[in-house]
Amino acid sequence: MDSSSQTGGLQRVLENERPRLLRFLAARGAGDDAEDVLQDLWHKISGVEARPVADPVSYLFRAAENVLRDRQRASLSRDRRQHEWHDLAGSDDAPQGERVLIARERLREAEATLLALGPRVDQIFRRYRLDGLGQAAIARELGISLSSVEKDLQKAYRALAQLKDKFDAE
Amino acid sequence: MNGQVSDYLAEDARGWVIRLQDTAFADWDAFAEWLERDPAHLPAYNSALEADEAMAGLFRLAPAAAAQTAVRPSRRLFLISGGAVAAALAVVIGWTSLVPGAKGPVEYRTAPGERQEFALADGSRIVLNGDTRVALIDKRHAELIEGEALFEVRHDAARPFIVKTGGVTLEDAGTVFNVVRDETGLRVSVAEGAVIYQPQADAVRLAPGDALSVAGAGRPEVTRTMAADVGSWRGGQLVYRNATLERVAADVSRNLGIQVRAGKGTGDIPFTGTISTQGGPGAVIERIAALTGTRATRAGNGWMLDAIDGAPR
Repeated sequence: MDSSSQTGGLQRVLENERPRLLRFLAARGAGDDAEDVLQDLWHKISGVEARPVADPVSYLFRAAENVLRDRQRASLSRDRRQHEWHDLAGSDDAPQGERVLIARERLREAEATLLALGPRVDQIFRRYRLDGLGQAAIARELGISLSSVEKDLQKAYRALAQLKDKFDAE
Repeated sequence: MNGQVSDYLAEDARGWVIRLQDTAFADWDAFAEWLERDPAHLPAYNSALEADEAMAGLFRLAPAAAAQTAVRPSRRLFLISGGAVAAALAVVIGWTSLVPGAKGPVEYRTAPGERQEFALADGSRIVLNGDTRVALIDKRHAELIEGEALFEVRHDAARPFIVKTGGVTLEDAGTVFNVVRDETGLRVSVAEGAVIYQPQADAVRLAPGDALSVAGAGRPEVTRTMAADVGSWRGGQLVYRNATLERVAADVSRNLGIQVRAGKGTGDIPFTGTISTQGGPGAVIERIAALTGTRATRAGNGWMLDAIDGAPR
């Protein structure tokens, strides 16, 4: 299969799935931008090198989600003149040393928070969120059930969200 | 603001954030349906997404800080000088992922009274006595967390085999050696070849028949033993020369899977001799009491060895 036929294939799938993708984008808050997002997506998949895509439909949904996030992020930073707390590392306002110190202190707190939930929760979070391993693979790796992995992930994400609220209040 | 999102909704929203991150996620219609079901769902989802991205971003910020704080204070401290520091740090970081089959350390563990032997890819062997935990950090690097293990190591001068235990490093120099780490301290005895105790610090070289012991934070003491007796526990023999009863009791507990303790007043009864661990716990306890001049009584689930008045001192 050559490059043009593969990307052509993806574009054909996009055309077929247009109604589902539009519905998804609308629900996802794309509003009037939904058609634009699909247009972006169309260009993106024609630009990528051909590689086998196991599940083209799911691939397109994920790509649509990513395009949407990029656009929302871009408009967010246009709208906001203030720096977000998590942009500390990228901010030019605070001196370099101070930025790094704050970020490290927050990282230290985040790590302590995860470890307090137990080594398994900590490990599962890292494998999933930082290493990008799937839940099924983690369950196999640890010899535990998929629902145990899900529960541990919920615990980790919940604790980190609470910690983020705390940082926001600081 | 997050404060306006109910806990229940926030939990649901986080659930979607988590599921979507799985590359195997395919239920996009169900996700769209959930978003459509209630206008509050989208802001809840975006809020969960923002929290997730901010926190995950932290983990990517400063890997150096991560390395420092991953060290759990309750764990043993590895104090090694020079170039070994990086390796030791890697060990400690990897510690949280002691999972068989995963990349990184693999932990082997035996119950009291149990034995386990495993071979390494290079032909080296590690034999675990009861109540023992050994972590294999990589194929030339093990840690004795507690208990007793006999190492029969295929020597490679370019890549010495390293055993770490309780902040102490042992380096093989062509070797069969036995290591005990329990409540009485550390004991290393060498059957063949040589072992270097603390190569970066004291660098004590132990030859066949040498036995090194460290009690608590004390200085290492080297005594002589019979090379042939090193690791004799595998054949059901515990061999002692001027050993404390406390140590005998700890060894018997580990070997038989029964709890044996040395009572008050037995601290200064030195024992020299060989104890067979064959014939069942009751018989072994009787034998020990007779050989050490103590009285054995049942204490809880185990046994207590007490000094008999007038026993030879």
